[in-house]
Amino acid sequence: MIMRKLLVLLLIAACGAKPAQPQVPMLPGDGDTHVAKPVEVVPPPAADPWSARKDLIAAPAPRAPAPLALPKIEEFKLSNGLAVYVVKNDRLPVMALQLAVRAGRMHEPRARLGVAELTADMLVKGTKLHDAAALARTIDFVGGTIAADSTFEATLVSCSVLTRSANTCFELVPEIITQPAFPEAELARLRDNLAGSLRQRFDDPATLASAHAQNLLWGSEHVRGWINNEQAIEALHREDLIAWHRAWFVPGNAMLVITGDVDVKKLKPDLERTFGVWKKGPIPPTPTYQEPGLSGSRIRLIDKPGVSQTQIRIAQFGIKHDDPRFFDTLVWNYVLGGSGAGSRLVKAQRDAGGEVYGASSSFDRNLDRGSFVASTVVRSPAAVATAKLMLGELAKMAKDGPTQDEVAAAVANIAGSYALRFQTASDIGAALIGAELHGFGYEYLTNFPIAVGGVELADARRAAAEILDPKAYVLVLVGDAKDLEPQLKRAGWRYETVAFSTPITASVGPDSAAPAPPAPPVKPIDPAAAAAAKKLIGEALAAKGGKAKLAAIKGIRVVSTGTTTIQNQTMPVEISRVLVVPDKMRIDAKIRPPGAPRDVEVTVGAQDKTGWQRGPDPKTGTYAVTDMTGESLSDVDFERWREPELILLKASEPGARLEPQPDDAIDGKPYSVVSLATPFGIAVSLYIDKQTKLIGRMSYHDSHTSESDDFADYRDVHGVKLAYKRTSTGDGRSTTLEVKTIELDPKVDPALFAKPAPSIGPPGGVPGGAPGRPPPATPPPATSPSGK
Amino acid sequence: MPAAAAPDVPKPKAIGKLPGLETFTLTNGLRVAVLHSDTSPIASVQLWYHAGSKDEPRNRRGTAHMFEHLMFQGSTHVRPDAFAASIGALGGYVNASTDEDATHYVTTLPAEDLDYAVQLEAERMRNLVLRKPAIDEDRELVKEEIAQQNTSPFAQGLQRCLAVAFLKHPYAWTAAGNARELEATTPDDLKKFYDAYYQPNNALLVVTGNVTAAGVKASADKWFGAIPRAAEPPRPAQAAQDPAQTARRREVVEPGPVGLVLVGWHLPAARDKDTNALQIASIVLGAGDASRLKQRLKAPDPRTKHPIALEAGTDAILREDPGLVIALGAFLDPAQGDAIEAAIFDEVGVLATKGPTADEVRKAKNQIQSGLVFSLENVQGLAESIGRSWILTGDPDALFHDYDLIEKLTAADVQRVVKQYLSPDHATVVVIPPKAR
Repeated sequence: MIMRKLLVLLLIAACGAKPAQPQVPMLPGDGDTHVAKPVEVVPPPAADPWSARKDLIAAPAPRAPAPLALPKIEEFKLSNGLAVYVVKNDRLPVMALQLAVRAGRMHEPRARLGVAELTADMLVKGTKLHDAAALARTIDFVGGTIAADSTFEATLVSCSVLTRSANTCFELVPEIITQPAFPEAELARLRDNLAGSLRQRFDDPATLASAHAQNLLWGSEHVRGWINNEQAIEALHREDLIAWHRAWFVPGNAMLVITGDVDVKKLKPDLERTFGVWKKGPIPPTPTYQEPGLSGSRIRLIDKPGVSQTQIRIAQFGIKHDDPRFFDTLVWNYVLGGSGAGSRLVKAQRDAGGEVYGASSSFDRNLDRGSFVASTVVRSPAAVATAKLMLGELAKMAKDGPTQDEVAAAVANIAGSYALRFQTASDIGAALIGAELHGFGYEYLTNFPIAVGGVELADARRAAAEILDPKAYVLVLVGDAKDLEPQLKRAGWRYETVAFSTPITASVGPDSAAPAPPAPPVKPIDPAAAAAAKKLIGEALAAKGGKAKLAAIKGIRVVSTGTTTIQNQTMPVEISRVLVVPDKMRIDAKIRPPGAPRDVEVTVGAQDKTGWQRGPDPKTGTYAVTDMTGESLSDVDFERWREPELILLKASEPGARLEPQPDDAIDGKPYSVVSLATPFGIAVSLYIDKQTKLIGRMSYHDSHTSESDDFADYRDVHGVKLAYKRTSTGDGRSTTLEVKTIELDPKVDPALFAKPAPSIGPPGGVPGGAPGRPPPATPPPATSPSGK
Repeated sequence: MPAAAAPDVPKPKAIGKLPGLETFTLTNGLRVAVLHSDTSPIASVQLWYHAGSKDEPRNRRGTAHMFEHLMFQGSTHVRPDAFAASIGALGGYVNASTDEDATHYVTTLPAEDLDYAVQLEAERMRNLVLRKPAIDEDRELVKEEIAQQNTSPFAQGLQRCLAVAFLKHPYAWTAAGNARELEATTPDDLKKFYDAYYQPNNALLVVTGNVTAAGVKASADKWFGAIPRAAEPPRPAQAAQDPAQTARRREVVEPGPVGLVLVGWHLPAARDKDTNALQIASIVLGAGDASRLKQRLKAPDPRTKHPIALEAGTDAILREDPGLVIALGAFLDPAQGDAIEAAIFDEVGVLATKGPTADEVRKAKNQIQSGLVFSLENVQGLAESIGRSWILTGDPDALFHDYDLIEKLTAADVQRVVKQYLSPDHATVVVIPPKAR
């Protein structure tokens, strides 16, 4: 629950960021292009003492585009239906193998956002035959690389080796594809890494702007409108990955491209032997969604207080890759915003006299329509004026199209640069996969420059006029609302405002496209059993000190110290927990990871319906305060609700849903067990010592985890029995705490629960600000102690 | 010029079906190397100047680096930024990079525009316009890059280690430069450096891709032919060679954000054949999770259950003049520094007495050879390997020998070089304790 996540964050900060993973070649123009598009920085125009010269060197005139000569291709199918493409090039003794499975973000159900990415990441993290370390050792030994990644449309696995080590790829790739083990420990680690990186990404205004633009354009009923987030990743389990893999990873849904110095004749039997074990299976239908319409324009302001710049996105629907206007669109978009400092969007800002940080526009290149997005970032006082300027450029392009010179320059660059993308065996393989996924074939690659060269001025103009609609667009501004709202109001623009911390795609509700399995129906409890459970609670309440004494408690402060053990690493921990009835809570945790020079501190505060946390940023190590929303906030709620010293009050409320459970034993001592339903959909089991009637254990199981907290060494504090020894276990970790002090009704400054200003330094006051970031190290343990 | 290749070197065996490298020299001393590749209709045109940070005046560190930026700021017949913009318009791209031994300029573009790229390189070899606004702008850029470099504790540690290991040689500093000295660098200083080093007889033109040697020769003659040969440039480093180290040096410097133990040993110059075996030794010791130092320093200590170090590894820095191999361990607990230092010497000692296993040697060879071959897959990497080979060894072809030379090495060769070069008495130790909290 909550502390688990917090301490993970803290351990990431203490141990360094995730080491860089080898990158798989991406498909050209993958559907996630807009998610984190970097915006080019444009230098200010330089003075030109050359203007008077007549003898400047002239650049050569662009040449007519010619077809790209590529090595010939051999195609065949294995007996299990796997399509194989071989491109032989024996110039160097290298071989690359690339496998694409049509299983990407576009295939994910809404209730399992992130499953494609997490499954791909997990493929190299262990199989039924080898664990992650053994797989890494095998590929390291031959000096090769193996990697897996997912895109909007597919999961890609690639393996590159010297030809003499070709068997390493032929053995490893079928193994990771057909027998992944998805080991829990690796999964927990990757899930936390991915959740952490998503949290980081959405703290970045540029990423946030791109994600909101997709969401606003496509809405909540289309896969393109769903934006993955930390909560979605944390809700993914091993079973989800197994189910995803079982459904989509079948040979008929995949293609294999082998490039480089290979013997085609010998290859066929080798592939039958190695990839032949991949069992045929039905291919699930690709989910389809109704395209939302867009009439008029919508504006969303994402309020990120304290930033001085505003990220601007203007989005419209794009075109399919197989649209006959695709190449025309490449050309006019190059002119509009696809050519860096020379594009119209940049020139317009420069001519308007503003400081230009860069601007661009781009299209998705996908099976479906995808999006067109124009992007820039400006100083906030110029935000709305710049948005107007960009809309003006879009309108001008729609009305008049590009000029003849602009078309010529675009064709020269696009056709001229194309060949530069085909150099290595992997380049050719990746491009071939991109073409085949879209049903184009090899000739698409060869003829690409010709197709670009065939775009005439009239074609580009017509396409721009048809595709750009100056009256129907979405506009997203990410900046400080106090700077932006006056500008928007002055412009008379209607807009919605969203806090930057609000999850873009809400948690899945019952009406989602692919709902999570429904909760089991609530069974009525046998009245006799309920009465027996109520009696047990009554006895426990009396042993604790009586209902009146407990109900009179207005607050508790518990300070404890001890150790926590995570994956066989034991480290000291110190926790202070303050609760003020009914809704104020604060937990301060200090932990000393092994080898760390200083404690890492994490604080959680909550009151009423808000919560915040403060801890080191996993990337920079600087302390940051963030709002808790969604699932994190409900974790805090649950944590407050089940305060162990007061839970018997909850259990004795008239509406409490109690049910006796079979007796159990802890360390040989007999306990009665009562389960108490909570408003969080989870039941908490209370273990009541048959002899003393004191609670010896509280435990719960939810879909994430199971937790168990043991209580011992009860002492009398002002007539109430309080436990001085607490042990929490769950998820392969355990925390043992000795209580140092317990105060009932402590004097508490109400400011303790309020969100601190972001500028305050770490509680320890680290000299010089942020602790230095240690070098890349093994990713931190994935689970952490609970903070009871 | 770097020393010429030794005459008794056999003709290199080709890697795969790569055609042989064709080389020739213009009358003004410009050397040209051409390697044909028809995989793609493109070419990489690179000009390698034998001018790196080791050629800088001692009080003008960063001068070489300044040119990496200034060379795009306009010449007599090319407007500022027009170099990059016009190559971009053709679909190509440009880049440049400075190191301790050389500065090189990269233009990769459609092969049919080879002549234009050669013309632009010849133009800026002698016609660079050094304007104050451009110098000021680039100085800020270089200072920014220096500041960037200094944010990394590793880079800082490496700089300290170099400064301690090299008492006389300019490898004591890195190519990024020194912000204070850049402030003091005048346009005249820059002009002096440009006139000394940016000359045909101090450069190598490398062209790879879908071109012919005849085509490259025609362009090189046409555009570079008229540039006169210049005086041989000064080589301040030649008079600043470090004497052989005779005793261990050890310095504990001021604390940093992360504790680091760096142990360096002087290597022979890159052209020495022993560097291949030393590269294998470096990989066996500290490259990859299964390497000896990582196993020793990053696995949990049986007594404390914690690893001794946060990170560990080795790197062999091969340079034209004798370089350095560095083993390092990073740590946060001040008490761990001594254990890391002892473990590094212990592992090197074991390697010297027992040598590597056959598997370790095979793995290291695989890694070096595949790294080399993968780097040759694209025209830019291929040209860079050729240029670097020339700078490091005086022979643009040398890299093609390495593949075979490395294959022939044995565990005994590796053991011998470890004994010879990585002796505990010749080590330089720099300890950066972690800052106290």
